[in-house]
Amino acid sequence: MTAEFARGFRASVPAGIGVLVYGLVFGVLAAEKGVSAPLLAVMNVAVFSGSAQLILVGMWSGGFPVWQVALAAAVVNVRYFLLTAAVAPLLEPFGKFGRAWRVHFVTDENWAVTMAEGRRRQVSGDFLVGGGVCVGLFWFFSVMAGHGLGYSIAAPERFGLDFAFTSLFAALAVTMWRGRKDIFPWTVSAAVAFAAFKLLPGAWYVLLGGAAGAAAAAVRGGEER
Amino acid sequence: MTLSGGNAWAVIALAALFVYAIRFLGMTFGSRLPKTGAVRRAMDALPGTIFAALVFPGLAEAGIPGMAAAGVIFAAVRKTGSVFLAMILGMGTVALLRAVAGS
Repeated sequence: MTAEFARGFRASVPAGIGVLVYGLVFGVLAAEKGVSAPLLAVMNVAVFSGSAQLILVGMWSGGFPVWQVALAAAVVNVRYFLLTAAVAPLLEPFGKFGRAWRVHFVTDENWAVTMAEGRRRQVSGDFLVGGGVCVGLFWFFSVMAGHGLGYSIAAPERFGLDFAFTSLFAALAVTMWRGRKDIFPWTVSAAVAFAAFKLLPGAWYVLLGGAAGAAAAAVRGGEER
Repeated sequence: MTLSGGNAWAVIALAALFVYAIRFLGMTFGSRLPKTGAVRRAMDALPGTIFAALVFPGLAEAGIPGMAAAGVIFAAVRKTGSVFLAMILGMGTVALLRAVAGS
């Protein structure tokens, strides 16, 4: 463990505390959907992405085909492509194998912390990975704690818990709202999704709606801010 | 139907593979991506449109309480910036309106 790793770890602690709250909520919801503790533990390490895991668990009991659920979880994470592209120069010195496992530790939180640090000084790949391990530990243990808690809540529909996913997804959607330029793509997305939801089986509505909305943004042109 | 047994492991393995592939490909080929133009606009819009597609049918299915909750959630995120608080308020709105309608 290098000094840069420790420094990155410490710098990501505040972000980790934010992750902790989110992880607790996610753990409760996962228990609600009947995801077992071993499955959840493996998912935390192997998938290691809040938004993708949220989609997985949200669609857990919908009776959707496996590949559609996995694809929906991946598509919501396409933005990681841009994140890891931005830190590629930091991971370059580690060589082929070294960067292949380190890139798994790129998450929104430590990525943002590393980019901010990089504006002030020359930052290294170890700083990024240290932050990723920090965020990962917070994520893992808060999710498992939430999962333990979730099993102890009786009669969840009394608290509107059946609406929890929709509510959380709606709140996250609002944070992704980029202003007026999103009106057209989001309207197309919602309309196509609703039609597909009514007409087609499975999770097609998520994929078709999302793709139609993105296509609408591509066609629309105009301002890029 | 809930995912269980082999299907549950399969969906996690597949999702892990896909998500890792995105991380790896971004690191490897990300610099070749267009910085402007239609492809870039589509990629930038995609996370938001996926969430819009995911959430809208659920809100519509929840009827008037769902739509009211959507308004509360939007206002809460905009005013406080807290996703967690907005989620709780949204759930509370639905629970309250259901209780009122049921009585």
